[in-house]
Amino acid sequence: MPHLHPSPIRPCSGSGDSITAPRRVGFAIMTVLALVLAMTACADFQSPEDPTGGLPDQLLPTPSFALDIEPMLDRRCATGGCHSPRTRQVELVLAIGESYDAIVDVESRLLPGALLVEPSNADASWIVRMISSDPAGRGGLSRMPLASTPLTPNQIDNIRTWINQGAQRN
Amino acid sequence: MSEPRAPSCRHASVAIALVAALAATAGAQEREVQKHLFSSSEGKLLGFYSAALAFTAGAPSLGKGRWRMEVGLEAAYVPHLNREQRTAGSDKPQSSNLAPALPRPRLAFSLPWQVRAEASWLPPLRVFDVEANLISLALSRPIGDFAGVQLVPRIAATAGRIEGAITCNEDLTRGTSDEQVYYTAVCFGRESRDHFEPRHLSLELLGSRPMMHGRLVPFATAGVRREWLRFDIGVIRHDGTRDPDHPILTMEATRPFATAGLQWRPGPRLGTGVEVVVAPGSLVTARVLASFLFPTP
Repeated sequence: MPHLHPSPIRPCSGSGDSITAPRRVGFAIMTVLALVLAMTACADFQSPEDPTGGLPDQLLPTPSFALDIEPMLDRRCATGGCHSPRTRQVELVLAIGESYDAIVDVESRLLPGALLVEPSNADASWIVRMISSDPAGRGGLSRMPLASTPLTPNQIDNIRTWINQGAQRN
Repeated sequence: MSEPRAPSCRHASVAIALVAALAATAGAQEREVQKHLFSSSEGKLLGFYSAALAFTAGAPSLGKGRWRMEVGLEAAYVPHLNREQRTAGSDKPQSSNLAPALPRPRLAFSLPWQVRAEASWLPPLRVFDVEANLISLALSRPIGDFAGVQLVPRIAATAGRIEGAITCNEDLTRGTSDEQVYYTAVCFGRESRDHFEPRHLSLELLGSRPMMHGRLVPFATAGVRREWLRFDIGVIRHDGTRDPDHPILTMEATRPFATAGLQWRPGPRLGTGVEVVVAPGSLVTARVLASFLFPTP
C-alpha cells in the first residue's frame, strides 16, 4: 500500500486538520481491512491422496496378475520419471504388458543375487522388500513408490499372496 | 571409386533422411496430454492457480470523462496450500507455494461513449522464484443507475505463462531422504521449468454505490469465467531438454466468481481499495489496489 500522508501544501478543501483526520481514518480502515482479509484468505478445495491409485483396495484370496497386480504396478510405479517404458529407472519397466517379464525370475540390479519376484517365496522377493515398511529388508534404500504414499496393506498382501501362489501369469 | 549419383537422386536421399529424422524426433518428443475435469485433484489445483491469476475489476473507475488514464498497482495474496493440496492426488512431492503474493500493474483509459479499457501486463521478471508473462485486457461501460447502484458490465481476457520450479524444486534436497533421492533420480538433480498457461474470458457485472460524498465506494461483482488451462510439467534432463516422460495437464471449465470490496478516495485523483475475491471450489482471497488518476490535458 502506498503511504498516503496528506499534502501539507495544498489540501483539497477546507482546513488541513479537517482533511487529515478522515484520510488517516480511511487509510487505517483500508490497511486493517486488507490485513484481516489476507489473514482469512484460504484455498477452497481438498485433494486427498489416493494410495490405491483409483483401484479397489481389498484383500483377495487368489489375486490375478492381469486383473489385480499389473494395473496396480502400472498406476503406482510406471509413472513419469519412474518405471515407465521411457525412463526405465534401474532398467525396470512396470507398465502393462511389460511388467511380468520384467520381474518374475529376474535378478535385481540393486541387489545382485536376489530375484525381483521369486515364485512361491514372497519373503525372498526383492520387490516385496522394496515396498515394505522394514528399512532393514531394503538395505536402507528408499521405500517404493519413491517419495510418495506407500501401497496399502491390502495391496502389499495381494502381491505377497500372488507370489506365494506361484507368481503365475494369470 | 564409386560413380557420383545424379543430383535428383541425392536430393531424394536427403529428403528421405530429413523426413525420417523429423519423424523420429516427433516420436521421441511425443507428450501425453491429460484432460482433467475441475472435480479431479489435478483440476482443483489448476483451478486454484487460475483463480489466483484472474483479472478482476479491482475497483470502480476513479473519474468520469474521456481520455483519462488511471495507473494502478494491485497486490493479490495467494493462499498457502497444504501438502495434500499441493500434491494434487498424484502423491509426488511438489512445491507449488512459490509466490505468496502477486503484484500486478494496471492501466485504465476512459474512452468515448463511457467505455473504459483496462490493461495489465506482468513482465517476465523473476519474483518469488516465479517468472510470469501475463497480459490482461478488459472493456466495460456503465449501463445506468438502479436504486443508486451504478451497474457496469465488464468483459475481460487473460493469456500468458507462469514459469516456476514446481515439480522439482531445490527445496527437496533439504527434505526427507526419499525426497532427496527423488530429486536426484527423477529430477536429474535440477530444478524443473514448469509452465502454467492460463487463458481466461470472463463476463461480469460490477455494482457500486458511492457514499460520503464519493469518498467511500463499496462495490461488488458477480460473473462467470471460461478457462482454458495448461500445465506443462518441465522436468529438465541432463542435456537440458524437457523430459518427455511427464504429461501435459489440461483443463477447460466455466466457473462462477464474485468479488466485493471497498474503495477509499483520499483525494480526487487517488484511490485505494480492498477487494475480496471468491472463486467457489478454488479460493477466497484478498487484493489491495492503489491507483492514480491523470487529468484530462
